[in-house]
Amino acid sequence: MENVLRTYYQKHREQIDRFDGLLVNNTVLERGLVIAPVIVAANTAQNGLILGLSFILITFFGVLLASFVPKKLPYAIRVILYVVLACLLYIPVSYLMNLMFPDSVYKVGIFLPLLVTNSLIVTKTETRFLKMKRLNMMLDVFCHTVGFFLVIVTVGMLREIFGNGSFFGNELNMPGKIYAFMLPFGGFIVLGFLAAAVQRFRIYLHGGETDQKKGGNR
Amino acid sequence: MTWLEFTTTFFGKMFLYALIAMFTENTIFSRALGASTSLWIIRKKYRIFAFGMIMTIITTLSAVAVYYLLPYVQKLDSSSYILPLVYIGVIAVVYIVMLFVTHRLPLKNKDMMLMFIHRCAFNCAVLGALLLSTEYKLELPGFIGFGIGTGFGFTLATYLTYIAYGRLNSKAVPKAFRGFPITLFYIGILSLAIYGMIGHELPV
Repeated sequence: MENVLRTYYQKHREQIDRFDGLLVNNTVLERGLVIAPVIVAANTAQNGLILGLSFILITFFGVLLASFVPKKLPYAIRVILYVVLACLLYIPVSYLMNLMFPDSVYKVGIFLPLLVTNSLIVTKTETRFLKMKRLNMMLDVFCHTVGFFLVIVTVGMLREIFGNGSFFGNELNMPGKIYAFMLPFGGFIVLGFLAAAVQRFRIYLHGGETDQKKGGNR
Repeated sequence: MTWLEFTTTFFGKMFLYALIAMFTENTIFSRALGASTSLWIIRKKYRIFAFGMIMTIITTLSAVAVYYLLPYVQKLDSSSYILPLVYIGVIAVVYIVMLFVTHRLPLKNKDMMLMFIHRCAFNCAVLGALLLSTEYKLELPGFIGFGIGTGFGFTLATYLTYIAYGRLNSKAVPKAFRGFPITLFYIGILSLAIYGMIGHELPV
């Protein structure tokens, strides 16, 4: 009974792996990429929401536009163009975030502009996404960005609940607060536990062995 | 102000900001900037000090250029929206110059150095150092010192993680926590230790 999920996964592995960016091959939890905003800025659910939404918009459209950059250009020029495209996308995205969250955007500080140099745009565009057909690539980038969104909002919610005793700014009357959760220390610890949970799940799915070739930081 | 006074003040400020960037504002322990790159270097067993040196050069050169460009950018309407674009432009120029110079130099490990430059230029630690220097409204010695300190701080933090990485990957650690998860715990504990060491206290 306990192996039902594993058997199902192994039977339909090819189809399920198309969506692996959501959890099993998650940008943050498995690959250890783009962890700075999660660890430092996502200490409230709203901060997580702002950064998560911005990340989806900048990265999804950034990689999509990058797929039109001619491959004949030298690698260094291509990478510069990818980041410049992300910077151009940053302008409407930050404007949109200022409209949606006028009192909160300043709280994420430098971590919003820093999304333009995230690893999915700078390195994974070349090493992963552009090796796929465009539709598959769009699905893969979408899963990776949504995976990041889910992680950053979850981390933000957990840190806000335990560190500040509130949820989206509403007091929860918690018996105690662990202030250290609001510091980068809390981000490292919460992310460490989530990464361990995903690693355990991956070991279960793969029947006791982790996939070393795919592994990000093992 | 005499030349001697100017020099001592300039280098004194630069040294002070380098120390701040290395310890109190450490790129990895305080802001987790470049943490994934740091883990990548350790995992691949690349040369930490060579990578740190390249990061220091790129950050410092970009910081000087940004300092002189900043007054012109800040005159523009909505300058905060185009700031990343300007900074990326500066980093891109430094990146191309570094690649060009490295190609010309008779280096032993040229391929490795070129790979380090590719990996380092658009790292969030570099852009983060420039954005932080701007946010703190630093003067020229501050920009230079912060750039140098960021590179040195990155190297120090990477080395401290490297020392423990073998143990963090040993079979003594449960499979679920081995590698990346326990490394996050380790960096987190170090970050809290440094937070306390520089004089902060947690509210009771």
